[in-house]
Amino acid sequence: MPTRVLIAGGGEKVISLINTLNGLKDIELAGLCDNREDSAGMMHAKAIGLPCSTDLSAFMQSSKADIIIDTSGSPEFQKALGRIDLQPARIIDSKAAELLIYLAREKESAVQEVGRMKSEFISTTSHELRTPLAAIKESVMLILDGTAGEFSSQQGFFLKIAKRNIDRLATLINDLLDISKIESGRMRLKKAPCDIEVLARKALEPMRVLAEDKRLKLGAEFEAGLPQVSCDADKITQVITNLLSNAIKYTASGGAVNIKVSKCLSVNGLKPQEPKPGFEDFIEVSVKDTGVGIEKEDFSRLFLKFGQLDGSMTRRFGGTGLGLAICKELISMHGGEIWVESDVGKGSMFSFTLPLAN
Amino acid sequence: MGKTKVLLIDDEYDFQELMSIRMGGWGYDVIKASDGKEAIDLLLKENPDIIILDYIMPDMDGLEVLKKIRELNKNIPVIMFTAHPDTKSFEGSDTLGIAAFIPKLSAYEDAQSSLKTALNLALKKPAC
Repeated sequence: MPTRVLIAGGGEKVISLINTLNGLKDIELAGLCDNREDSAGMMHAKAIGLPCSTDLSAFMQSSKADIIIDTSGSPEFQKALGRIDLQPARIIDSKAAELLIYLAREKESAVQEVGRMKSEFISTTSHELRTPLAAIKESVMLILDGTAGEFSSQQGFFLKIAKRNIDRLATLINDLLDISKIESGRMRLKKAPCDIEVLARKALEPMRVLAEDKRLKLGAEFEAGLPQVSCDADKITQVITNLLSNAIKYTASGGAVNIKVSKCLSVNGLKPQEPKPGFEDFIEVSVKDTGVGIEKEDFSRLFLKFGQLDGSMTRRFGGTGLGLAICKELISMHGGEIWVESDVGKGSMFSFTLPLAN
Repeated sequence: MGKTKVLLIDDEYDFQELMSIRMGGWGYDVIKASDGKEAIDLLLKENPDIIILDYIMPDMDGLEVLKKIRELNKNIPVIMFTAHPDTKSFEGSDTLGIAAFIPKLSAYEDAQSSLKTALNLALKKPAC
């Protein structure tokens, strides 16, 4: 929780104090209080939209400040402060405020350092996890594709289970790394004009085996003459792969999963109910399934980290509960939107938009 | 005409063995190196047609090895094949002539088919 700070007094020096405090993550400015409406500090505070008041007593109560920095140095002001119940706030002077700023900065750089170490640790660990897993997968693949000779159908059945679980583990490692990058602000996009149909087909290819294994019908529809989108090809392929693998995972045998890519008119990347003037062109990608479906009240939770609807779902369907949170972040970094529509028992449709190139 | 020679540089013994079997099956003659020094020796001695290079290795990392390779041979195609998470963001990698970046492990995707495609593209001919 950041410390809520209220500044008392409106002299010139308050301007730089406000700016300094505003730049600190651990401090939240509650407002500025001065007995003159037109003081330099008041004018500045108003200009930047900071709550201001000349009514010290009322403001102290409503601002719920933890600390009051008295910059006035005026005995009259201090007397007035003395008559007000300030609980639980503490009053400090400008000198002590310098110490407060120093400590907040120290804390901030320590937090940044911990964040950097955490990202580095996850990055190194993920390499160490991937290396043996890559060797395990390659060994399984060499047997599965017949390089090591013939195997029985039961051996093949067990090997497919092994491969499926290696892929699960690989997804988990990738998801943890992505979340760590997103949280530390190190996720970078390499945007270029892309043909979305090519990306969708690339994502579809490995899904065919998964769909066949579950006897699902996997379909694709692409509107003719789709314009290029501006995106990071790897990241968008990752989003489409995630939506397709979720759809396959949550749809029972005999069902259907369909991907559709079309042009759409949208505002802020979100598809409107009725197109209105001023809407921009986007590409819309939708992945529809005939799976278990999702209750409306759970829609927003789906895109939160570890937001899988309940523990039993994790146990039944596997997954980290990170995939959709990563998808949301990646799509919003592209300037698009992602959303879900669903009917319980009938299926779900996850859609996202991407802006066109140029 | 002899087989296409692939120099595989990887410090992971198991993976090196597996890849060697895999690429041997595709019709390549695979020469194996476990570190940068051995790789440079083999580059000079064996004159390979293409190099597959791991990124994280003891002593010299993949980028340093690649810089040494480029001092000796500017044209040999090099494919980075690595378990490093940020494969595509090596500093300076864009000026060193990397034909392709292939992750050793990705969920769902078959790393082997990506590698086969990259080898074919870089050599401008099918493996076998």
